[in-house]
Amino acid sequence: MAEPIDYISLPFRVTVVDGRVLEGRLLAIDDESNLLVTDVKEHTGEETRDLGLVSVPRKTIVKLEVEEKEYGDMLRWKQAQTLRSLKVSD
Amino acid sequence: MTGDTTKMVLDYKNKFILLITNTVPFHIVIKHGEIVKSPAFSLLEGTNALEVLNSKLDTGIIELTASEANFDVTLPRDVDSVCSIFNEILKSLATWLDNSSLSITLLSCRYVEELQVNCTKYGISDINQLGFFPPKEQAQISPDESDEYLLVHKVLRAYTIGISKFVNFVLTLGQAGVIYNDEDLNVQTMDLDYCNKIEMIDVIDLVDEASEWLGTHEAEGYAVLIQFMHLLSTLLSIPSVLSRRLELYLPENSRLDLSFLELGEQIALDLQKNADFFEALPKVEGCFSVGAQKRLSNRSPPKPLTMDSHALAYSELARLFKDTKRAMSVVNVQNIGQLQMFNLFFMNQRATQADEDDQPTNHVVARAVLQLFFIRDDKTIMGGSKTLTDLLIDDMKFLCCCGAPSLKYLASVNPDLSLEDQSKLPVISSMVLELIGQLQGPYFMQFTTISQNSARQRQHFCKSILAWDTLHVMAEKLEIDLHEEYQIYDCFKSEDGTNQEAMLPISSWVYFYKLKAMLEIVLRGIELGVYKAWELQAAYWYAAYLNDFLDAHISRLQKINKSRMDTILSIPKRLKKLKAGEKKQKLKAAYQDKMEAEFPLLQQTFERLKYLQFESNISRLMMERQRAALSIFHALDLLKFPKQARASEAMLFALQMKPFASVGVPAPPNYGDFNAERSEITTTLKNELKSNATLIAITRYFQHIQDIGEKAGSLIQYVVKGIESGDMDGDSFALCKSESIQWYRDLEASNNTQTIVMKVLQRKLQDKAFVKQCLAGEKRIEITRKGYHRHYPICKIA
Repeated sequence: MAEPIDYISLPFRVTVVDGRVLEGRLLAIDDESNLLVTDVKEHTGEETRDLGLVSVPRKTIVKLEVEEKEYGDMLRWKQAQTLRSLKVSD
Repeated sequence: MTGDTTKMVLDYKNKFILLITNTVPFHIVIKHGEIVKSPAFSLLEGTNALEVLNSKLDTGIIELTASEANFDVTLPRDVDSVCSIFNEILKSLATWLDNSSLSITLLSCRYVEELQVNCTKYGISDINQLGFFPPKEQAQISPDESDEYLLVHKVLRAYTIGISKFVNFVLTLGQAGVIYNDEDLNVQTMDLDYCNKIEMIDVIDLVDEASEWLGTHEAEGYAVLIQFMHLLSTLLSIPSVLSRRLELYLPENSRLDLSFLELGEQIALDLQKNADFFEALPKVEGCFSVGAQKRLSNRSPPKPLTMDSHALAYSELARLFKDTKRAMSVVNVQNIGQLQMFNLFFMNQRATQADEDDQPTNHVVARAVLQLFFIRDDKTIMGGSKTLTDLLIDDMKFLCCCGAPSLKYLASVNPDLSLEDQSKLPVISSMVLELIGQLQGPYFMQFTTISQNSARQRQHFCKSILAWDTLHVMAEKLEIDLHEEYQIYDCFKSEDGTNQEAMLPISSWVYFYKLKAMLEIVLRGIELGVYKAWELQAAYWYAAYLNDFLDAHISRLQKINKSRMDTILSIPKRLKKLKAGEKKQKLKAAYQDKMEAEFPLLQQTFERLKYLQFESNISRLMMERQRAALSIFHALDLLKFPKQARASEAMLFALQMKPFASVGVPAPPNYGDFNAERSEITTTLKNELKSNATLIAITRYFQHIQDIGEKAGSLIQYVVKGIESGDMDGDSFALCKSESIQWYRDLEASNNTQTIVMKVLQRKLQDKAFVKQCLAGEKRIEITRKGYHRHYPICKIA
């Protein structure tokens, strides 16, 4: 089972209320689900630009997505860790 | 948030998994008040984050007017509009170089933005493809279009490319590490490449071609555009100096053609005078806006555009050329003495500004150009055969190491040495060279210091203290080892010829630079306002303490110099006593050699040390005078330690002394020493002021201050006359005559005004009510810097 910390450093895509899409890696998240994302690329229609470090308040988020491959890798790694710890405890 | 509790929808097209939508709650479980973060990330860095949809931080929600949003860079424009755009672009460039950023200056121009976006997006390296259209369309522009069309796509295009290429050059200066990013120059590029792949020669040709085309038109606007183009050409000529290779100290270096810098300055001043003409031009609506901040990669929050006033922008451009010319006059240096003075006065140059606290050093472009031009990446000086090591040895010889036995062992081969000495050569050579290698660090730092802003100059001196102090110990050890193990030494001689105290020339050189650096830290601290009014007394007290050491050391250096000259001049007497033979011939040859190679340098050193002695005497008097004035203020309770301070005065004194805490010699004095000396003077004065008795001690003290002022005044005048007539320190002031005279004129201004201030104060102190007010804390001290020497501001009762 993934813990909050496991999402840190994964590539995320955030759609905000004005339609802009921000892509970057999750750096921090607080108890109100406000995000801090780094290496952000902002997509507005056809245009893309770099913004660097961006804080995304929860209230502005319409959609939050995580990149499938790295998310899957993270889950598999977590499973492997769990199995290994079970074997050790046996 | 887990895979089980979050509704996930696979987005196969973009390979993203949907975690939340506005209808699905975010199921991450974080305890109240906690933040989950990457271990490598410091939350403090988070304060730099740009917050989405926050109007103060999000450039994505900047609102533009229709004319700004839809501005068309491909439309033809009339000559007046193009003139107006040219003027605004040039002012934007000057504003960027005057401590601003590209995003709010040059890139606010839609033409510059579009051109750079095309250049970067298409990775253009062929100038013919670069313009306001995408590459293919640009290459198809016909020369038969209308004048209005060509004014944009030929003239404005060439101008924009030229300005961008100059920006590219300045960015390379900024990124070379010789000046400080953000502090001296903002190098945030918004991920544009500023014609990086375009050859400079192609840009210059394009600008010339556009100028020629403009020359075929007669209207007034065209003539003004030609002026702009010529100014741009001079800007684009600056980078060429960095590739010039010259040999240091050669008289023919003066033939280096730098007339373009004078031309650039003149055009800038001419354009400055045309303010009314530019004011009357139509503003091109939508051409300049904050749009670039919204459209381009941008890691900064929204910022309003800045633009220097017409007069300031052009005077800054003129300063760029003037200061670069001053920097390039380093090519005319004929000896190490001149180079030292050139560096000192270049570093001490301050532009006069209306703002008293903002007295900038030389123009940022000039500072960076000097640094990169003078010491090249391969450590050669101006790309010639001399290296930094050669310069270091020249410097050592000039001050006190000329004829020093240890420096004879620098080369791995020295035919002048005896056979026995030849055998020792490799070992001794490696010992001396190792020290020389170590000395290069702080010596190089001295050269980097001259390119810094005034605050960084002080910081560089602070950093160098530790190095100089360590090297002082190392040099002393080396010279003692050479003496004891290899009998390589030189000593002062008594009248009967017996050896006395060792000269230790290398450590004497290091010690001189250490003392100078220490003194610079204190005096530059006064310039920068590091010390509060109540701390000034301690600052001048410590500066005077250091100056006493420096003064004593200069006397010692004079003794070394005299001893070396006497040794050479005594050779003829020895020759007379010798009988003809091989020994006599050898001594004769040695004498001739020394007279040619060493004696002229020793004479130059003699003159330099004489000047340094004057300088040190003037400093001593000026410091003493400031201290005396401050003592009176202290006696009047006007320099009281602030009540709200949480630390003790002793602790804050120690804090100010921190840069010197690790220095062995001269040992840093403690607060007790300072306080005892301060109390000794002020207690008497204070007692007299508090009583109703006649002011005898006070009167005597004021007389003492006046006497010091008179002595300082006459010494300053003597030095100024010497510099003016060329009699002071040989030809060392040749390249910085006006700057050095100004330096002493400022000292004179401080000295004269202080005399008046003290006379007024003396009169006022007769008034007991005034004294009472001072003692009751109803008066305060005011420090005025503008118009005075920056080490000696005027302190008076407000």
